[in-house]
Amino acid sequence: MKSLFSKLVSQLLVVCMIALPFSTQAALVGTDQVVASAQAQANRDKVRDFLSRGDVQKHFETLGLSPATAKDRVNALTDQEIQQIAGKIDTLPAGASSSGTAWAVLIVVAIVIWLVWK
Amino acid sequence: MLQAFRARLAAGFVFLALGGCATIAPMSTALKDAPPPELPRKVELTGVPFYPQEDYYCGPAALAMALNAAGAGVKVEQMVKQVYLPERRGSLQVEMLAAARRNGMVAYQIEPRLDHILREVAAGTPVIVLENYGYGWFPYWHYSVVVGYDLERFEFIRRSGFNERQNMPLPVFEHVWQKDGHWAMVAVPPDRLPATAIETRYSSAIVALEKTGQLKTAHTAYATMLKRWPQSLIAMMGLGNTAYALGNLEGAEAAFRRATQAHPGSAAALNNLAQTLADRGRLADALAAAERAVKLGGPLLATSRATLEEIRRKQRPAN
Repeated sequence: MKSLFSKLVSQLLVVCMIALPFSTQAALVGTDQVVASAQAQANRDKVRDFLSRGDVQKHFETLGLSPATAKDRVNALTDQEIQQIAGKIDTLPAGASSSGTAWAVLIVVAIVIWLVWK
Repeated sequence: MLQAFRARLAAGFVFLALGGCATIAPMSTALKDAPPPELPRKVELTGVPFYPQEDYYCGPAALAMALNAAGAGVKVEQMVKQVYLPERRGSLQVEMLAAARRNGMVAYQIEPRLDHILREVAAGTPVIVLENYGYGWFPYWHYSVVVGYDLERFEFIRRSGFNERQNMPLPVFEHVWQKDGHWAMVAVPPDRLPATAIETRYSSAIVALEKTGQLKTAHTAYATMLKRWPQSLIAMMGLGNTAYALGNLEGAEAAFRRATQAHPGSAAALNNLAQTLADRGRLADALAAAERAVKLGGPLLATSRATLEEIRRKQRPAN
């Protein structure tokens, strides 16, 4: 009886060992995944461009932080965090250097700092 | 309700006259100061059908007008079934987009810009817009269809409720349109691109078609997209994926191959090419593509590895 049981268990184990490595389904990569990764890249570019702006760098320097360090650390953020920042950048007024724009930029800078140095 | 609507409209005029347009209607002001030179001064799409409806059926009616202008051949009653929510006495924006897809059209939410409405209309496409005549705590939503504009008189021509041609000054429109985030959509056949389409937005609209099983419509739309953006990875991948799902492996292979040539760094393109080649029995070619995909690594590594393993497994019996 015991031998039958152990035989069963060992057979089951063999099946599992063969089957498990292939349990990740080989499949086509969906178009939605391609869109998502393209979007993630676009968001990263947007944040990088934002951090390269002169007025933004000035904000960082005023706060005693290095824009270069911020850029490095932004690279380590997840796609979701980057999206959060990119979304805020989208809401910035298009105008040049009114006081309203300066405030809006400062808010986005604050979000970057919060995400990067948290 | 219509009376209330008229009263609000009149109030809107007074409000705008008192407040000055620049702060309340910045897009209209910009448009008035510098109208885009490429736009005709006056356009009216007289061919767009009109279905007079009670206010709360404005969603289904607007949808039927836009869809039939695009050649869908639907009835307002059908649209009522597809988008009307009796409890809300109205229709949701997401359902408006979904219903356009269900009826074989690409549902494209245009960018929140006034000049984009004009550009779509100038290109012959009526635009469904969401207006809000209420206040923050008492919203009063209304869908209408912009079928024309006149830059001399500075107004839109809309199909709205029981009015086949209701004129509305652009600043007033901008005011009622901005309250719900400048929501506007067009429904276009898959072989035609919206005039204001941008690559990412348009591709999301087609992916939505693909995900909801409208494979043929999506396939045509990806081909349309590729004509406009010949280097688009999304368009090539979408073309291949829809061809594959429709059982056209030859078409899928051609699309994925084109994607691997235009974007050699795309693991997704190589993986899908490998899978398609394997399905067609060309295991040696499939193996080479799968190995390249695995070598690229990246976030798709697990999928690429699984594809490679499967191809190796298929090869084994032959050895």
